[in-house]
Amino acid sequence: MKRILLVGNPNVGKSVVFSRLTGVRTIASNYPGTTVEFTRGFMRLGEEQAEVVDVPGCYSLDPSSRAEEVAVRMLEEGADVVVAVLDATHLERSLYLTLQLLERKLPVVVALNIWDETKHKGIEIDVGRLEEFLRVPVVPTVAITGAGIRDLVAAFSRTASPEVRPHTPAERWEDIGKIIAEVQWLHHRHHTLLERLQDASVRPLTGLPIAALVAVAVFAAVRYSGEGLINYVFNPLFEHAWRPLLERLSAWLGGAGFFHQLLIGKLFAGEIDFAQSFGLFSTGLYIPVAAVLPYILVFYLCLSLLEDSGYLPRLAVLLDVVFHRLGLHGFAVIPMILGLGCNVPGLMATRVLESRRERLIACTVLSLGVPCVALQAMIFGLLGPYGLRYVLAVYGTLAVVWLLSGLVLNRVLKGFAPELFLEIPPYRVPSARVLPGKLWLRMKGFLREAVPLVLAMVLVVNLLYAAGLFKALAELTAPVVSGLWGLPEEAVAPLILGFLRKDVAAGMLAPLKLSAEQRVIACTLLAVTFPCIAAFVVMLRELGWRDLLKAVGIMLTAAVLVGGAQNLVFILIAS
Amino acid sequence: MERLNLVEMRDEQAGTVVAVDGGRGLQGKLAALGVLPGARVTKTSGLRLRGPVLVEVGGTQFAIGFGMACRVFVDVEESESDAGAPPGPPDPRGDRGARR
Repeated sequence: MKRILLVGNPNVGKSVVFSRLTGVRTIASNYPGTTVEFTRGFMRLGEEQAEVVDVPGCYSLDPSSRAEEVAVRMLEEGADVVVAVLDATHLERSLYLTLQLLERKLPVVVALNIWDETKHKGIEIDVGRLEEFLRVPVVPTVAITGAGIRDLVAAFSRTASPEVRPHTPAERWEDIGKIIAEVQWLHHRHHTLLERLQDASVRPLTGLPIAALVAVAVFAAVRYSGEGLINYVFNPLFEHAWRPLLERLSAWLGGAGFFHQLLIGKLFAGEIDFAQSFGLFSTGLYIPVAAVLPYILVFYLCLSLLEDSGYLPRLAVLLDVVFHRLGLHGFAVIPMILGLGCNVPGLMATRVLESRRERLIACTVLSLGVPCVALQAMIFGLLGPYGLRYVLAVYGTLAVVWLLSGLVLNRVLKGFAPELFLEIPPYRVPSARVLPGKLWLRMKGFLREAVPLVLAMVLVVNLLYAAGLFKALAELTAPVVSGLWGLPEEAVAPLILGFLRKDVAAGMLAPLKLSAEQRVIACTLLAVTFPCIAAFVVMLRELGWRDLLKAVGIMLTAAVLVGGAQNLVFILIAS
Repeated sequence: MERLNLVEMRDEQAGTVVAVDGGRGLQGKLAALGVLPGARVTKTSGLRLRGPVLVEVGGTQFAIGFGMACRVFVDVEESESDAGAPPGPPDPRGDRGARR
């Protein structure tokens, strides 16, 4: 089978080219021996099937980062076609990697992507002249719309590997200077509104208020749109469509007994309560689909908009000073924000960080202080009715825990905080063509991973209750849970089961007769104690056993301290 | 002409890189993005409290961490607005250092 590699700088639209070439039949996989991910798919090339590999974005082939090492190794494994994907609006920068590819005598085709934006930006490029200089086919493309992709595929048969001797970096830039002078002209034009916003969002005076505004807007959008979806779409759906069916099942099962408990759960005044009954078909479906899914939908919509607009790198620049104190650099803001959706992709994104030390710090503070949207949804549900200040008490505590644990880890761990080095892409209006696909992928991911796990967990909870195991555990942990945290014995089961899934665990708190303060403590503890099992497995993969154990030790210590501190504060306020 | 590092340069000042004071790793990393001796850079802005410096090289904006930015030395061009000013602006390094 032919092998086609897509190589290019980060953020030039390689992945969009990739999905254009391969359609939807893509699989993400881990490259053996490394943790940097690449994507692989297949396309039809004439009569035969060809493998297409989306190589991690890199700036050069000098192995100075993980992504570059992977790229170099994949190129050394051989390729029938190497597609150098260039950003036509940043031709100068993009050419460096292209020249390096040519020096390695690889069969190169150049895709001049983002071609449509050159016109708005007053950039004119003579494609024919560029072809003459590079001595390989050059095809302008707009991957987002699909323009030029057909020509690109046609050019695969015309790849060339001209004779080029190895150059030094200075020589390469000298060549690039000559090429640019001959093939590219810049026309003067006025700054657009987006460009002015570009500057404003990285200057501290204007940038911090903008960042605060964005944060509040996202929070409000998620909270209120999520609530709206629940009240007007999902709750009615469950009440009017699902409840009658369940009631029939309940009657058929005789309204009680082991199987009734398992499938429907407890009845409250003869009625099914979707939030509290705790059967597989009642609460087991209600939590992932009606209580969590709406928030996930809105959160990932906001996140996709932020990602596609180019705002996140600017946030990284603004927050670099804070992250530096935690032993990280500003780019670590991206794993944190992803973690607000689900800790799993957040933890995986810590791969962009260079050192083991950074990854340990980032993973630890992330699983301590960054609650996933599923847990957040339940926090809104549990505490919202008592007032915003209780919700904020949880978030405030988590923020303090996040900051303090990072500060301490940075002090205690040997090593140093690395420096930020990041390209700031221009703002782009998020594409309406890309957004729905991305959103759907993430929703599908959630439904596929969460729903079976939630159902399994509801099953396990019912069985464990039936076996009386929680009673024994509750008595064992009473000194900490009741004595230090001020929570009733029944809260032990949800806290322990938070290891399986946070949202279900929070759901188990609902039927307990807890005060608002106790709910705050329990919710905070759910976030701080242990990552859920999915996050735990990823942490193990990213950190290894030794560092994972360190992280777990920190989490348990933090949980004891934080729960105790919150309880103390509430007692002091009350007295 | 004056030799300053990226942190000392003022916003909107441009110049030619003369040296990157660091190991091969740092030099290679910066060179791949076009920050190497002979390259023309423009400082867009710098964040306070030892925050990153924003520079423009070859039409692309980069953020460079404070520590790294201290190691990139630039021969600064005199822009038109500086022409009439007394030679040598106040050293902004002391200013920024004091604010840490």
